[in-house]
Amino acid sequence: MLLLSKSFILIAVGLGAALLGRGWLAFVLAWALPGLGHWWVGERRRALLIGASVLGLFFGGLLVGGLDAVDQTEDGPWFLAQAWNGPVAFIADFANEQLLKRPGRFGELLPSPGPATTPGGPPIELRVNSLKGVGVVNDVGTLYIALGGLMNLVAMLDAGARARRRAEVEEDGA
Amino acid sequence: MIAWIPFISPMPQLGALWWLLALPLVVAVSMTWKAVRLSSLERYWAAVAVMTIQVLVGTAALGIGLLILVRGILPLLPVE
Repeated sequence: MLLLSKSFILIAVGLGAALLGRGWLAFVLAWALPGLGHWWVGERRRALLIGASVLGLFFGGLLVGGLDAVDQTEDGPWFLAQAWNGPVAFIADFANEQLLKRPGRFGELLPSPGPATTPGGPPIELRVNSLKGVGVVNDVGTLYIALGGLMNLVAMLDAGARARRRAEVEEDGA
Repeated sequence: MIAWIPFISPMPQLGALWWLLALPLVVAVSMTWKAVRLSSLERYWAAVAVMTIQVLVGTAALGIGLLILVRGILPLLPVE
């Protein structure tokens, strides 16, 4: 279960930063806000393009698939990719828990049969929000956000590598 | 019918046209990839357009290839 937990992502971000050595700050900044790592390195135009595309995928995915497109509990493997979008993914997951899985916020909690606890046993009774996405559009939203996360991971590694190269050049020049 | 709440509930009436959502998805992926890979951003948008077309045409070609295999070639194979 550690692999599917939020703490695993935070450990992975810390481990990646440690492995990058002098590029660690750009790596972490790029995770905190897509594009910020390149901005810190001085690549302002690249930063804006990366930020616009990654956040465009994230908010486009939420718009298309709804808040249920980010769900660490029910879509754990997808969340492993989505978490690389940065804290916005964790905020969206928290909002999903608070707004769609608790009564009285948005929509209505309806009874739904869940899987049986034992083979042949009675199914568990689950309650599912009436706004939960179950169609292909929700899947597309999930895919948008997951691909945005994976593209941001590429940008994070690039920002870290650029920062490390810049530090090495400055060191050689000194 | 429940009214659509943007960013909360899934976008309605996209059911049959969901495949059109591949275009903005591929454009955004190409934008990030080219922003990272190009050494100079002078011809950035041209490179993004080329990659977008390549991915969309490649995906469509894979789909057509699978369609021919499943609908055209596999039914011709003997049952036993």
